[in-house]
Amino acid sequence: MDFTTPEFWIAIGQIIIIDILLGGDNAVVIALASRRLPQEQRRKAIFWGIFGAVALRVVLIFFALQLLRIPFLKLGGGLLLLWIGVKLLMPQEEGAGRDIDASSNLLGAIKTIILADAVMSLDNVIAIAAAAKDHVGLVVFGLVISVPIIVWGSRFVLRLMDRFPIVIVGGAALLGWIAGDMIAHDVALHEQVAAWLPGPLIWAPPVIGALLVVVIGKLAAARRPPPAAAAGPVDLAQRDAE
Amino acid sequence: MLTLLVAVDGSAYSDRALDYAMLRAANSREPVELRLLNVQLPLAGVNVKLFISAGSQQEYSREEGLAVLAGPCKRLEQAGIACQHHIGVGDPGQVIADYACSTGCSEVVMGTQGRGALAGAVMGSVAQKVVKLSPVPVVLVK
Repeated sequence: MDFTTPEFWIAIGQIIIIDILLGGDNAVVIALASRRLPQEQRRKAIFWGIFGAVALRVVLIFFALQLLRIPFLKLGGGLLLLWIGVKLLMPQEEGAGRDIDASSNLLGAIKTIILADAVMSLDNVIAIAAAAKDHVGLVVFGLVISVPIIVWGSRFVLRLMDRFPIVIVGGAALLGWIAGDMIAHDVALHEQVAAWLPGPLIWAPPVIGALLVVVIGKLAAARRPPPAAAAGPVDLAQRDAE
Repeated sequence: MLTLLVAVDGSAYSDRALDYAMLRAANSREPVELRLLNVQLPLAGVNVKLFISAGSQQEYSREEGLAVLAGPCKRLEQAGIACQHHIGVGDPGQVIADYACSTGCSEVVMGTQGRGALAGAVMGSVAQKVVKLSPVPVVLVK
């Protein structure tokens, strides 16, 4: 795959969308986790949190390329991406137990930021590796492009998702697509898959992955309508009076 | 009684809109009430959904909103005008128009960046959307 082929440019597009979807709100999570700290510590926590998010990606991508050659790990990575895609479409869970608490001491904030960084980087790295299909140049591109998105992109990304909700559905479908592709290319499975799915049927796993994510996500969203659909605008400032 | 809803987002454009609203208030024979509204974008990312509860998200939006409103509020207080501030979450154009409608404001005053056609088409103009949706007159300050 070199840069004259359409596959290369499709992979580039996929990687940019993945970085926007999975990296765009990292800074928000970090800011949320450190918002109870005193001003000076808060700035430090945000800086090191973002630094950690970038550094962890560099480290993880290095391991990911090696690890994904082990049988069944692509299957696991693909399932994780399917789950992330469904999550993207589902409304917020009410009273979910895994809320990051905004700790008021530095150590607590660091702990939560590291935990969040690890999970946020892991899904992003697996998705980049899957879309890049072991092409090292593309993996590096995915990393480089994710840095400005993590550091400066959150406002732009939130605005984009707000203005074009289709980005979220399309992004979830894309995650399902590359997840299906990744599972089909697992070291232990790809020979059987190629035998079962001759010719054009090789497109079946990514298509099924994309459909699966969108259908499950939409069904789950329909079963649990967002509770915030109250009449009239919610005025958060009114809580001052309470 | 004239009620002006001033949309503020912390930008230089919204500061100029506030200048204009304060000038109107100072020169009007009728008593003028100023209401400041800041709209925060919903936190739509998947990581936020995974890690942050709805309650914390609201709390965060509220704090971010209060930070934006602090400067404009101070200016109003220095001018001897009572500061009424409000924070909404959602699509800014929609929320501003809804708010103006449901709380019976007489006018919306807001800044506009006057972006070009291409940037406007990609990122969208909040001002355009308010003009389209608002039931009351909208003053755009450039």
